[in-house]
Amino acid sequence: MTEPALSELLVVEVGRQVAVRYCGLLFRRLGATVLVVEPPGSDEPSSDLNAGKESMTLDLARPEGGALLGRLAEQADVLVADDSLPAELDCARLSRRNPRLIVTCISGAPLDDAAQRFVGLNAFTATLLPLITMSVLGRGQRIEVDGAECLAAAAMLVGDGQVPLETREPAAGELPFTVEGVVPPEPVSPAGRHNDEIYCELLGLTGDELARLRREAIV
Amino acid sequence: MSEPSTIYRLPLAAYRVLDLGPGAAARYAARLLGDAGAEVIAVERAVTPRSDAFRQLNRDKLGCVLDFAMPRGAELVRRLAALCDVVIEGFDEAERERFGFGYEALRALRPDVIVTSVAGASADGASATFAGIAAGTAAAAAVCVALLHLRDTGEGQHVAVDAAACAPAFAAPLPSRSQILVDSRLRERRFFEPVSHLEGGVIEMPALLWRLGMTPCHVRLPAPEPGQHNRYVFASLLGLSEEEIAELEAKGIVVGGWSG
Repeated sequence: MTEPALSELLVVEVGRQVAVRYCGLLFRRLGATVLVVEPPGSDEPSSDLNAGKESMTLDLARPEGGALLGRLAEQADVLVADDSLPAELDCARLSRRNPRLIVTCISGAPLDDAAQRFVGLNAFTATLLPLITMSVLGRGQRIEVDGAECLAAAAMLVGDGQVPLETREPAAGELPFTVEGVVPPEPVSPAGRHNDEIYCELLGLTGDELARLRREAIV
Repeated sequence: MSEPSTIYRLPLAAYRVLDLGPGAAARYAARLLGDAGAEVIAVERAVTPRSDAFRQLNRDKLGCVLDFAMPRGAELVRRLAALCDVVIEGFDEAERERFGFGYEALRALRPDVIVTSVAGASADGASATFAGIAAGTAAAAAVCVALLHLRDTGEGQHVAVDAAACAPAFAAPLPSRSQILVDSRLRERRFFEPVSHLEGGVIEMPALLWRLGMTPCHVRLPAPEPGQHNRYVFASLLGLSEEEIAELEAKGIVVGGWSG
């Protein structure tokens, strides 16, 4: 069996928009380890689009939360985010700490779920481009994919007056293409399911430190 | 570590893509790869009218006109495929067999080739559909995944997109052109870029869709005029002599190059 092409990648995903989640899901199905950052204490059921991702909770609005995300980004290959990424975590700052990091920002995302998936597919493809040259360049960069622009560019090609297709919600984890080496469909983890592994093993926090972050509702 | 200013090289600059069309989905997939810096050679089986959609779909490509319905034309396409990292095609099963452009046939000529089949898309010249654009985007994604696999393992593969199956997942209401043309946010973001054509003048079209912080984001090439790069393809790449090219032109297999 072929090893999935993106197996070596660590992707961090921030943002609850479908575009971000769909982009992250494509990475996961192609073998990447995808860490989803969710706000702590939410009762919202986890999205189907989080299938196979490792879930952690972190309050990015708190300074300590932002600092922890910065530490996570030091170890990541890719950070995919929407406008919910705090402004102080800008790409320049993250890149200083991890020059290889690719930061993909999805702006202007539309309301419609199908449109969001289209934007997420664009963001996924754009993110692969610097990965292809990474071994040559040795450094990451910031990528911006704008939802309104993705749709407008399609509209300028398609033209007015075409009967729109009927939208079909894709089955969980369904890929829009066939390639060698795909991860089989996986279950969705509840929010925060992987907090212990991520905070203690990946970031090296002690159990006491994690307990304090939990008490203070940062995690 | 190199300074950012030294790496203004487009991400796919090291790769050559053969775009056989027909149809908007295959053309759009190849366009996205051309935008990202790949050398894309678009083959037209016969001269296609230069519509607005054609110019958008075929920018950032070189072009030649080669009738591959004729056996000698199909053979030249296969020789060209052997010089390319990626082949993109939107034929149906019967055409693919008839022309001899199936994955196994091309792999026999170049073991690490990436062949991308985009099924269920509209014919050349016809206007694009959103299904075609979505399928083309998915095909470009699949090519990038396959290029990473190629880089890591040296192996090519056959990747496929079925427009009819995949597009409904992305079927979104699109804004109207008239809305887009007056959208001030898009203007501020420089969504449109003027592209100067050899014939047809300056046409404003959507700029590069993905903004990469460390590479320039401009349209490099206007869509080719009919046969504009015949000489590059047939003489420089395939090594044909002037006499051989003249003979192919006389037989209507190669259609005469644009010459200003």
